[in-house]
Amino acid sequence: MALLSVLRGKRKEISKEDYYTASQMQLIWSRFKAKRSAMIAASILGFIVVCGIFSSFLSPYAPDASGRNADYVNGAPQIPQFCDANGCSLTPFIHKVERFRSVKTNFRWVTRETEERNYVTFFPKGWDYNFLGIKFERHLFGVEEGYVHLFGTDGGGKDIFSRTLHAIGVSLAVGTLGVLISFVLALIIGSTAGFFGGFVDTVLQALMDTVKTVPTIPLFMALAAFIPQEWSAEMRFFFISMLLGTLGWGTLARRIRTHVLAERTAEYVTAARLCGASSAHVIRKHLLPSFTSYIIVDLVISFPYMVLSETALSFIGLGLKDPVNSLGVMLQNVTKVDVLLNYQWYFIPVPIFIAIVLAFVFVGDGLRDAADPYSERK
Amino acid sequence: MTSLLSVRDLSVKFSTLEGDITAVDNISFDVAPGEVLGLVGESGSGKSVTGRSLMQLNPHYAHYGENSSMILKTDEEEVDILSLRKAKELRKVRGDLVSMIFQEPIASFAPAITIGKQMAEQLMLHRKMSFKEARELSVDMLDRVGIIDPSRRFDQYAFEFSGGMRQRAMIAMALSTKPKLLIADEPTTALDVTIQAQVLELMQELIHDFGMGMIFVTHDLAVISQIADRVAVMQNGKIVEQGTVDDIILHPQHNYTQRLLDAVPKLDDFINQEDGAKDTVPATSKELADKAETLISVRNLSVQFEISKSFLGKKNLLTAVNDVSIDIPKGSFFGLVGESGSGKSTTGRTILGAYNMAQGEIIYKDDDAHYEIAALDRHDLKNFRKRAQLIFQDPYAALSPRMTVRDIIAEPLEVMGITKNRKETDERVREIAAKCKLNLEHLRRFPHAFSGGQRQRIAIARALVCGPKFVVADEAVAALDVSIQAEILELLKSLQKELGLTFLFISHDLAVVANLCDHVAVMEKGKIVESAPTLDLFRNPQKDYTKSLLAAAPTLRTHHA
Amino acid sequence: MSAFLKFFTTRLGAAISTMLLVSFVVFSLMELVPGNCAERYLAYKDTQGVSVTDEDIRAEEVRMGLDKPYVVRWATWISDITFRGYWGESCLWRVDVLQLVGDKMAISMGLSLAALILTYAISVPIGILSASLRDSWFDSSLRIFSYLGLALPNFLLALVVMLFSTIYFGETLTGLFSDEFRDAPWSMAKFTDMMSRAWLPIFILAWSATAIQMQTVRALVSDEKDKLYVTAARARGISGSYLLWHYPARHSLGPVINSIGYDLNRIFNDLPIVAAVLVLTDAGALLLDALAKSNDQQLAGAIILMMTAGIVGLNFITDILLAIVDPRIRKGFF
Repeated sequence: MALLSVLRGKRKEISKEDYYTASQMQLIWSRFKAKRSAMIAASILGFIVVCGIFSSFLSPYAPDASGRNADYVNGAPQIPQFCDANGCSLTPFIHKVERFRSVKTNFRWVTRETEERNYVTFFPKGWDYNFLGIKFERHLFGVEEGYVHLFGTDGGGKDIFSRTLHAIGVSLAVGTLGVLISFVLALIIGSTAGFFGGFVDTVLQALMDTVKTVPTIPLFMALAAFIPQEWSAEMRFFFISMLLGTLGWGTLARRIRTHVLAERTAEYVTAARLCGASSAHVIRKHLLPSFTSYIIVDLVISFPYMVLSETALSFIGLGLKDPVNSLGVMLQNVTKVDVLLNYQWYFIPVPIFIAIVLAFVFVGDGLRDAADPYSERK
Repeated sequence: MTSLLSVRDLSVKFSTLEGDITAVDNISFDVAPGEVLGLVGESGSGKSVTGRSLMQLNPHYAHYGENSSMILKTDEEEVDILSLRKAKELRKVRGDLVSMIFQEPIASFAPAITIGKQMAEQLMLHRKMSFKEARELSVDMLDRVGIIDPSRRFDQYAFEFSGGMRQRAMIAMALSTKPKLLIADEPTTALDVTIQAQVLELMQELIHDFGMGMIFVTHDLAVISQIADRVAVMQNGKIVEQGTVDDIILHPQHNYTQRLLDAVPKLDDFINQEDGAKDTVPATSKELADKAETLISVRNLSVQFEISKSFLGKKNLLTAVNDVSIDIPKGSFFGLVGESGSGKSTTGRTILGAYNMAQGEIIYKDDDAHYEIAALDRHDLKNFRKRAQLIFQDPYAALSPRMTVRDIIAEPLEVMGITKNRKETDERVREIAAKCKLNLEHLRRFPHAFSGGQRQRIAIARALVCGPKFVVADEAVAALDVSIQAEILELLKSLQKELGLTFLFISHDLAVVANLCDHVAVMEKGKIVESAPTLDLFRNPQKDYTKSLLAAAPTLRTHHA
Repeated sequence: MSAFLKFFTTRLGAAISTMLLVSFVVFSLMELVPGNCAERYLAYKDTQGVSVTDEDIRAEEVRMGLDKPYVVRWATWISDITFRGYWGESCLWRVDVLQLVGDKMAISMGLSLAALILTYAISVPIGILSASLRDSWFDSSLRIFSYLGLALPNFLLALVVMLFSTIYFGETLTGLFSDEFRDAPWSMAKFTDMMSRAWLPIFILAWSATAIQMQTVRALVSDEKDKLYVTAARARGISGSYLLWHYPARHSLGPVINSIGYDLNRIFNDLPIVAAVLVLTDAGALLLDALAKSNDQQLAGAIILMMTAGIVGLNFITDILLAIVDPRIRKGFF
């Protein structure tokens, strides 16, 4: 009854009959909606995912060497502004930079800002990219002349803003692939153990325990190190995803096993069996619907661990490598004292990474609380 | 005489996210020294909350009404319980002047602390005893409640005690500080009847010896009629009626009390009835039983479960059912009674083919079919399932929360391929739902829309939709409140007549079985102790175990004490 | 006592079989990687200017026993480790693995155990406190803190610490030894020097585990607090911190102790990366070194096996501890 009043307490008046005829997914959704932190996290997550998917459109320059700005190496972020000493304009602009050398700079080339304005333009033509197999060349924004670097540039003159957007896409892709692979393994192994029980269960549980006991990152490292240097970036990408997936199923499998076991012995399943229901019927009508919600929760919760592992691996140079961008790849060089002291904008991807993980955690939490709408009654 | 406890205008509200829920609504009652007040009500009536309020044990989001007062008065002092705020002040009522016993004896002891330590720490706290003194007193108390070898038991843990022993130890612990008032919250509900009788007797004796007052919270009117001096009946947080036990039991004034009393199955009435006095009189004569054909015949059935396996693969077997033979006449209610762990459920489910039997045979014989359960092939098994179904105890666990009522009831039809199309299925579902007195508008709802009684109707409809001849009802009314229990029993009776069903009715409750069944078999430790037509069995039990069960069964008093 | 003995032997048996299974998995994985030890060694020689023929490789394989069947080699490997304490020979450097990693492994284990102790020293009392102050500001700020523990993994924390220490103190706080001690033999002075620098890696290693463990402890104690026996104890007048520590906290110890092994696992996972960030010359960094540059499967297998043995060993110890703490296990009730 408590749940009923939760639903009714919401601004939108929900009739009793609606509640009584609400399916599991409708109940879950209404409970999830009621949780503000989870909803905010979900919209942030949605935004980040969209950024990842449309990264090429959103980034003004190619994230690899072809998009480098040789005149603005290790350049500071350029924030578009509306006003400067010479007054204001309706279109945002940045100041042009110039390179010069003089006695003052010991005859080294130095970049400095000029007074000259460089206006931001929207939907300019830029570098070619592929989206869903179609070639595009329009981008969200650019500047009239030369380059704009919202997050600055790195040691190669590559635009950190563009790289970050692509890195989000790649990290999410690795995570998705890894989670999917480990999910398939976990589903097969976990549900086999839970469904058949007995000797099969004992053996599979021992296997799960073993997989959980071995520290994964050192093992990843041991295996990733053997990737031949001549492999292409794509092959590395798939290999790393597979590695993350094949070593990360232990915990998930155990949880699926527990779900299946609890559900298999539920009385309504016994009732179905006593009607002569086949295993296929029991799995399709009872087991699967009962734990899809839990599985979704588990997947969302295990996602950040995948992203984290990939970042860690790439960070130490054993995961993805240039020219593929991922958060870990972007952080590879930041431990240098030079960077720490002078080019702190290298760290801009860090808060974005944190935001992704936090968004997943909050969405996962919200889903977990909502996933079992029947628990509070009785 | 002044009262020991006087409660005035007690209201308890729980503030939750969705607003306040009133659990107890303006109730007043008194308990005199040495008096037993029975607080009776069905689930959700607020009786347990009332009990806990007396020690302020409700969760922190509980609020007491502004006008509420609970005054505890002894020879020495007067305590306004609600004015106590700090834990130190509350100690006055918690464990000192008032003690409490809970429903689940296993859950109310800390699992990893010895019983003795839990007893002693309370005495050290309230009576400022040394551990040695506390130990001596505790061992005496354990001895007093009938625990054998108390000084050894003192150092044991709750899991090393049996259920009845645990509740005895709980009583010893509650009484060791010699409180003035004892609150017993369903103290015997989780126990088997024979143990329940012993514990009740012990409590009565001790209350008398210690001269303390007691509030006995329970749903069970029969128990109340045996133990209480005065009774307060609660419904939806209110006391609808209170008075002496005789007044309430014999001359109830309030409608609700009357309804409750009517709903209680009465064992005495049944045994003392004139032959043929009621139209529902079950067949008593031998001839009648002999005349009926046997539908299910069980011969020398044994069922074993593997409880553990040792290193070398040596199996540890538990024999749950041991050499059981019964004949279930066609068209009868066959009762199978026993205490927990007697093997009655296993027997019932084995007859349906849910477990493998180690030995024996089970024959189903109908006009047009003959099955031997152990040797069914796929095709026959399917046909047998159409004829034999099960109704579960827990109406919450037995229905998938993810299916609509229509889908739940239709599942057997679809699985067995009985109906050819959706239209036909819907017809069958509506037909049986109407028979089970379900509102047809509700078929598109999910189980979460229903209360326990309605859920049990749905479960019955599912069991009957495929048109079975034989139904095993496994404690089908045990989880329900007494008024709902009566409704469901009525429903089962009418369905049996209408559809010509044969029931194997498994229950621990002798009174229910007596009023429903034609024939009863008593089980103990996997064996059938005695089997006879109901009236014969209840009037002239042959075996000691049956006698002790009958003697222990709490019965509602129908005459002045 | 016999129940306890039975429990002890069952657990020991389980630990040993897990270890065997782990060793087999690790061994198989190391077999699966392209190239064997002999090829690797000779390829390495090749780069040093020694020319190598196919016959040399065959001869080397025979010398190393690589021609024997797979299972036999696994059995030899594992029995050598168990009975002779011989962990095999590095593929590249032809030195006993133990000699190569001994010191560094000891330092790694030391750091990890220190981090583990720090984790529990912080998370257990604070988690319990947080559970007892459920729904207070203290409780909710801890919640945020533990979310951060997940979102800001150890190596990122290390980076951030480095960033700020460079900006504000002009020092990166990296390394485990001062320059003068780096290659010096072990001495008291070297040890003190290490300790004066070790606090940062220990703190960083403990970070995530602490944040997550704190939340776990809170949840466990919180669950326990709602149980009937706690209400029953309150009904007997027991209250305050005595109630908290003797009832809910005492009874949630089991699962907390049980998770120690997994926290060590977590710390081992973080170790190599934190070590890389903070430039520590411990086994983690060595593993990184050995694997990233020269693919030494013998060394890698040995190191992973050592780490896993540490975890399995700790799990075994906590199981036994748990049995001593929990009378239900001790008396063979389960």
